[in-house]
Amino acid sequence: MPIKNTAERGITLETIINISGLVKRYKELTAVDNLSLSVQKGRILGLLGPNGSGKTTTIHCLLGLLAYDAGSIELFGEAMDSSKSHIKARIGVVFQEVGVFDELTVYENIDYFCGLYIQDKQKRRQMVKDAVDLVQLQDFVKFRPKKLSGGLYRRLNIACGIAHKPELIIFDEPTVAVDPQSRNHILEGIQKLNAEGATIIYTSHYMEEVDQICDEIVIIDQGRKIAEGTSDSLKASIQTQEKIRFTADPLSEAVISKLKALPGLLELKIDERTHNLSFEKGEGHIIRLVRTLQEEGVSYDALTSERPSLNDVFLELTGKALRD
Amino acid sequence: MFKHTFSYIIKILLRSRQLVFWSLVFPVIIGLLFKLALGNISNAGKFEPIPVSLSSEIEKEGDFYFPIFLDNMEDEGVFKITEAADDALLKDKKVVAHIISPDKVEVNSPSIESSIVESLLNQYLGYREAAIRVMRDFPNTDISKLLERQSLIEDVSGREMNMFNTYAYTLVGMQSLYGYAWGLTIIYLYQANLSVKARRNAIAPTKKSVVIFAATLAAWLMNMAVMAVNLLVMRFILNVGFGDRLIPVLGLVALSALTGVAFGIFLGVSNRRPIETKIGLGIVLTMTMSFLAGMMFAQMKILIQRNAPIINQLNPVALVTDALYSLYFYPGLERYWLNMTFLGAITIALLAGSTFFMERKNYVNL
Repeated sequence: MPIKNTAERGITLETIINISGLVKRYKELTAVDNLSLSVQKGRILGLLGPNGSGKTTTIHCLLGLLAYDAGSIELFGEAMDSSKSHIKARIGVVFQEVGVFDELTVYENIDYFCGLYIQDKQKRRQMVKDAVDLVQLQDFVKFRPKKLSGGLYRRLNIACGIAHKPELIIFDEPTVAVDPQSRNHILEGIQKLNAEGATIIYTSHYMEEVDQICDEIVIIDQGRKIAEGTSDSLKASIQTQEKIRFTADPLSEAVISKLKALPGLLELKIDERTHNLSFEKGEGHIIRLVRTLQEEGVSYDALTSERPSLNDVFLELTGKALRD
Repeated sequence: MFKHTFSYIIKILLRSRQLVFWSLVFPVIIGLLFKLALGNISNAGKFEPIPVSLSSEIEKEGDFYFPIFLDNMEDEGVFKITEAADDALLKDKKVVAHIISPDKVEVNSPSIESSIVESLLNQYLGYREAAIRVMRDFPNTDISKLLERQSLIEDVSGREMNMFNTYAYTLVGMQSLYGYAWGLTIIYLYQANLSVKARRNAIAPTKKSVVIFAATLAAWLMNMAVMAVNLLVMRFILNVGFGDRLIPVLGLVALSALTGVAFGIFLGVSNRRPIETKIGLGIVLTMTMSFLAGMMFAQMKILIQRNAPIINQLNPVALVTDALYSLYFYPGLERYWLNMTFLGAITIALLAGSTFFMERKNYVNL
């Protein structure tokens, strides 16, 4: 059964994060440029953007680690700064780089970081156990981190960030260099945490992940917010609404001309035997294409049709692919 | 929070194999190597009479007391005197100095022995000058009392001078400064612009001053512990003498261990160079200070003391070495406390400087 988030469960929403006009400069470089966003309680917000787009800098400003040049940041309805321990106590962070102690076991690592938030040992023991269960590291609690595989190592990193059961959890690219199995574990874990009531910010440059788990998405590039909305609304906002692909031997000029004349065609790209056609919103594009190919006697295979992806959104908005 | 941080940091430091090796095992290995290299000259420090030649023209000087002074020196075993018409013995390096008159002495090259000869002759000249002045101003004074035979070199320490001891003292100084590694390690856990672990600690709702104090205390105890172990190895395996004043020795270990940790913390927070560079810098600075304190060349510290004593006063390794030396050889504690004062001032300066760099609440860069 799919896990329902807070919003789907009909819980009243309150604003947990409110960033307004955030500007962060590193000398000449403007890393975050007038960024505004807000996150409602129980939602998963995806911060999507290529490497170096300002996602991590935004997170560091949000946590009070980095001084910023302009704007304001409110968490749980209060202006955030690094001295506000009562706000910090409600936040958990999973940083992009793994930050655990090689000298401590898996259990000790989680207990150490959890202990920075929870003083009661009895309570902490249960929380550490829950975190271990969540990331499925039960068989490795006595292992030293260096003995773990890359995926397990990342899962330990997550457990250290969330063991104290924070209300707001920030995941900064948690699946970088992770195998598909661990990646799925991680994404499922995040959805479970959200289902238990945590509000989540998830930064990534992997659009599939953001598409899969986020309720709302903010796309940023070069420190600027270039679009925001749900996955569906973002995809609906661009011109390309259907992408059709097929493989065939090189087509004659006459056939290519006929394809280019198909109603609603936005772009035709040919890469050796692969033909990519982008269509604007409309119906019957694939039927008309198939009919044309049959009329022209073109032998084709591997014909597919798909909805636009977030990468298409990014491509159309910035002129470059998300992973460039 | 203090207890939680302290206990985990102790655990982390104890399990840091590289740290333990470099802090504990490395100085022990160096100590053993020193023992192997210097063990057979451990008695070379015993005071042997200094061979000097005495000009046969000395009688013509007309100084009645000078030959008596020289006889005394020979009786005390300070000089071994050979009469010579010229300085041939000196040229053949069979003697250290050729004495022509109380104020005229030839030496081949500067050395401790030639310095002792010069210093004793200067002291004699001082007495003679004083006597002449007294006789001139107070003709009825009993001059024999003034020039009564005095023991000019008196060993009041009751200890045997041992070259290996002084090398071992520099080793203790070096080890205390090697404690920079403990300080560097802990500050990388709590200064958010230095590591991800530190960033994790920084976002927790803990008081930075409390956790850093707990971690510093843990690092200090670790450095003290490895120093204490090394001292035991030196005392009971390498037979290094530290005297019988245990509490001042322990006080010195405690303070110098803190100096080392403070040095590491300062090294960590004062600049943004990579950790590898800071580790290298720590080693280079520690070894340089050890060299200047006489670890590789025993005369170095004396040369510095003569020409630029401020360097010795600012060099923690030299201060530790000198404090141990003074505890072993000197009956009083004045010199020990002077060294402790300088060491304390350096430690406070390092900690104050580190606090200045750490005080910021958030960072321009991470």
